[in-house]
Amino acid sequence: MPKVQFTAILKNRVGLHARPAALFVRTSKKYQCEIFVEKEGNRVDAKKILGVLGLGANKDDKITVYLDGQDALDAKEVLLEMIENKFGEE
Amino acid sequence: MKIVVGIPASEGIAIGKALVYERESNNEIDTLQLSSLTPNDAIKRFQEAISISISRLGKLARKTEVEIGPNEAAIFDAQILICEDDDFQQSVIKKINQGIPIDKAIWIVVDFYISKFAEMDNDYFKERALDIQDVGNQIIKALTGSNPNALMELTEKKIIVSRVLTPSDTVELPKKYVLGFLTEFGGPTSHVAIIARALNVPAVIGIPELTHQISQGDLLIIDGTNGHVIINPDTKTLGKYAVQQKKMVQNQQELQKFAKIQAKTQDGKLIKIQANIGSVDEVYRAMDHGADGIGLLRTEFLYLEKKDLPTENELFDTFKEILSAMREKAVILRTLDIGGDKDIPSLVLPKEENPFLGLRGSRFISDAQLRRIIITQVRAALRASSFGNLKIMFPMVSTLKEVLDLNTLVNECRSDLLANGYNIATSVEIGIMVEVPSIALCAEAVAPYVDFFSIGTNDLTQYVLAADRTNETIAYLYDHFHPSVFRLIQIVVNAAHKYGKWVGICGELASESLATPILLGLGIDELSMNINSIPKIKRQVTRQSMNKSKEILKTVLDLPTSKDVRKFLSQNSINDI
Repeated sequence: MPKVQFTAILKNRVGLHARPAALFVRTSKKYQCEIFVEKEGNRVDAKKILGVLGLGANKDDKITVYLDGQDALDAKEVLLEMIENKFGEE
Repeated sequence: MKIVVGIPASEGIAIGKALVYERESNNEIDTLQLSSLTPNDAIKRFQEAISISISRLGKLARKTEVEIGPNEAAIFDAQILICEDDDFQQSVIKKINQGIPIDKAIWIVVDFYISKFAEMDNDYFKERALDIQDVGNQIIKALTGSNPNALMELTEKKIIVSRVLTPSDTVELPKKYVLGFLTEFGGPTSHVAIIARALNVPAVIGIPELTHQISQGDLLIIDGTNGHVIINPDTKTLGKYAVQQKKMVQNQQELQKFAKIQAKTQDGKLIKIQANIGSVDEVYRAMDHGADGIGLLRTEFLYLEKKDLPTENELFDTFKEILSAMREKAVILRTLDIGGDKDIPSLVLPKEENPFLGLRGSRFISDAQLRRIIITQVRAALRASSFGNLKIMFPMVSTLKEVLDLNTLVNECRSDLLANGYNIATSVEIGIMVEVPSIALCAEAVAPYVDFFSIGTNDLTQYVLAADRTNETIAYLYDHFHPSVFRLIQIVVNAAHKYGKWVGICGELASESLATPILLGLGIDELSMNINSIPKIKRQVTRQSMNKSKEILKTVLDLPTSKDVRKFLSQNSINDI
């Protein structure tokens, strides 16, 4: 079972807030693997929005995402691209 | 009559009756029934209520997407995810199993999250507290089977008054009956502010004790521009605001027509009317208001609230975004203009005795360290140039030597980028701001070496009158209608035109309709201003003729004081006031 992780800096204007947070959680939920997201040592389940919002991850904050399970590699690719594309922010 | 004051959240004036919306009015009998349920039945009811809420929120999301937009609709998706959140559900179920009635269990858990979010130091996250409260309301409504929203019953035009308005409150509103919004809570980024601006109705928010001061059906006036609310106004006040409202509506409707036209004088001279902006969001607003281009892109916003200087790539991304959005329309990028009274956190500059006369703007290139900042900006700008119509402008230039040094700097950046395989547009105009009298007086020597001049009248006025524009005790001296300012502009325009270069104005003077005839008379080619003034100045240009403007100018240049200039202009030209 692949176990991967990646670190990224949030470049979109509002960080992991309403729309980006919803998109992030919605996408994470599509995958079977376990996904956790961590900011400054605080690690939460990426499939639960209240936890993700509770991170208070703002623009320019560094987050690390841990993925564990069959489709971890696919999920990593999609989530990383989403962060790098600033969640499709206009 | 009573006047209360809050935060102006959406512009305009509304006059109408109050609909006081109380959201905490759940049916008591239903609540009583709920508290007599066994824990097992209560959990079942809770789970049913969750799925009802998810389906209702889904409907709201789709309705919002059609009526307002996908970004606003995403709010409801976030709320659906809160309903689906396992931690949230399990916390409620745990409370129910402890024997706590279902509705109280929900509020305990909701309050826990609200207090958690309210502690955060970011406004965006604080707003999320409202989303969670909204979810709580939704679930309770689903449980009691009560009418989801009293606001849906609105059948005549009213001003909505409430302690808070959540996304689900506002989305269910019949929009055509909403005259305006007043709320006790909320900041400039709150949902009610965004919705009000989207609907183009006034809103005043953050009014303490609001709902205790207004009763159902009270007559209200909202002045969303100044943040004033007048409760049960007297006839005189009512009359005054009615006139003002009518004027504003007429003016806005008439002006909006001018956003779409070209600014051409009656004898056919075309003037470019452009926008001064300082953020990416404003690009779209500028286009809506009819900007022919961006006449001043302030780049300072990229440096504010940041611990480190932005990298070349970060700058490139933003410049590219703006240039692509504007397509073939010009974007005049001004390099960093800090120092003097303006600071950024990533750069500690030594304290100076006379900051306005000190190390600021393009003077940075004389310092080996600070020079890097300008180089990074120029490189990022040149790399972005192939995505649109870029021009680069340097602020605070005093001598020909500085102009030549800046040109060398640009050429070095360009050769280096080309050598490294970057794409750069074939033509990127390079110009300077005219703020310092020395450069205005010597404009003829400089004109061959620049592509354009843009006159920063705010600083030019301060320097030519030797009047610190931040010092209130000498504010009587500071007036951009002083004849000395116009004389300097004249020197610049004549020099520029002699060499076939163009001249713009990007200071506040450009947005003064009183000044338009003189600026036309002087031969200005472009006016760049705050976005809201664009339609007004476009209209003003169409009312002038070059011949008349030149005559006005002749008289104005010989007038002794700014007071005389203002008086002459208000008597001898068409203006708005």
